[in-house]
Amino acid sequence: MTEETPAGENRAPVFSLFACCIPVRGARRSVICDLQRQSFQFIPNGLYEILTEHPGKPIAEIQAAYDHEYDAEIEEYFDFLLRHEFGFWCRDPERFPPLDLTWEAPERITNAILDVDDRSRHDYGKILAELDDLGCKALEVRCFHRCPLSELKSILEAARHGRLRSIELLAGYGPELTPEALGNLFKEHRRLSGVVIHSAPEKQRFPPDRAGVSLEYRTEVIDSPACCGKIHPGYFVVDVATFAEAQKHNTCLNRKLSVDARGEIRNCPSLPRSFGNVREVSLHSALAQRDFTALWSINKDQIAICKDCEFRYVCTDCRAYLRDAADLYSKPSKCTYDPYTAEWRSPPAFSEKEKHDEEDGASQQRAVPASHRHRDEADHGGPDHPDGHHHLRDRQPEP
Amino acid sequence: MDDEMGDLIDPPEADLFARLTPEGQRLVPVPYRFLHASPLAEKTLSRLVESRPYRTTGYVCWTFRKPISKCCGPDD
Repeated sequence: MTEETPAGENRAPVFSLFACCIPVRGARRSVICDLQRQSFQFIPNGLYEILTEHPGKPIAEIQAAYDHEYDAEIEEYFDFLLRHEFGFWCRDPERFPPLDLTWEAPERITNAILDVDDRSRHDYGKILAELDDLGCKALEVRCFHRCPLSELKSILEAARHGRLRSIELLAGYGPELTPEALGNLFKEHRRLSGVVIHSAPEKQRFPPDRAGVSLEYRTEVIDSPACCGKIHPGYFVVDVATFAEAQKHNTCLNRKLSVDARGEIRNCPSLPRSFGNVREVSLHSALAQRDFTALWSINKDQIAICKDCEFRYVCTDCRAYLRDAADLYSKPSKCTYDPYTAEWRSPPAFSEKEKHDEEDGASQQRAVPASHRHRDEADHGGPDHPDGHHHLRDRQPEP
Repeated sequence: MDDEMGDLIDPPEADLFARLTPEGQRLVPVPYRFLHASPLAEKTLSRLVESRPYRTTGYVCWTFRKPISKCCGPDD
């Protein structure tokens, strides 16, 4: 009678990425998205290749696959992965299956935009009730004008007994929109998740309070939907929901409904197609029109240039402002990142954002649950240089 | 009947792990300790095992993290 040995006991250890740490290849460099820690790290494409073409192989076998030409580099790669807690050594990788990135949502509409200006005559109660019926859970109200506090209050009051889970406000500066007044608004309306005051005389940023509500005063003027569609790392979202949705859907328009300042129902206020006016057509019947969902399934893997970008599953797309307006699959015109050179054309947003986050201690990319694995945040040496241009990339293993 | 009742009233410290199938025992991270001691425990565990890759399907976060619109520049 032979004694049974536990699975994998006699096998050489192999490196397994945590299921929540998913590499994404770009034209010039790759990233590992840590969907649990909500952060990402740049890696060279050589390491991406090792992770995706040689999964579950012992290190000796991988080194042999490259004719032992890059033994030291390969060891350095795995040290890097281990140090950043992207994975672990094990003898039974089959016990750690990948995440299923199927995306589903029970809501017919998950998020909505409601635009308001000084000529708007919205029936907030009616619009919000219809959004409730569609299951909408997140709303952004964009007031392009100098918005009195009373108007903000009336919008929030209309949502008081609804199903929305979060409301974000964008409003034009007025002297009565003081941090104290808005703080009282936060206390009164707990589903308010953030307020941005545009056209403010000076910029001011208040870190999120205990409930996670943020308040920001910005000097830039946001006076029309044409201000939308900006793409920069500040808008990247690294989490399971967004990453999964991005696999098959458009990260901006999927399950989105908008009502512009005149009451026209659109996919996005910046898109030309109207599906009727909210005073005459219900949101239900607008949604039922065949074309309403046409743009929902344009994902980043189908969009020119974006499909070669390492940020394609953490970036929210824009279909309103395109490089080639005639081509539905054209790159967003307000994105200045070139994945073929790995450079941002305008001033680098990364360093500034990271600096800003360091200052206020509230990093979007590192909004880490306290219970999660500990990472040595101070360790920035070695092959993990954040720009991904370190020496190892230049020594990528060739098969 | 008595045996079934006996299973149901097993004290929490009963060695449930030893009663798992070999497949169940190989799955270290499954919190077998929290399964109540009943004849159904092993089947429950098997269902957990089978469903593991699918548990993130329909993932719902209490807050909506995606930017709904993108009007703000990076460097204001």
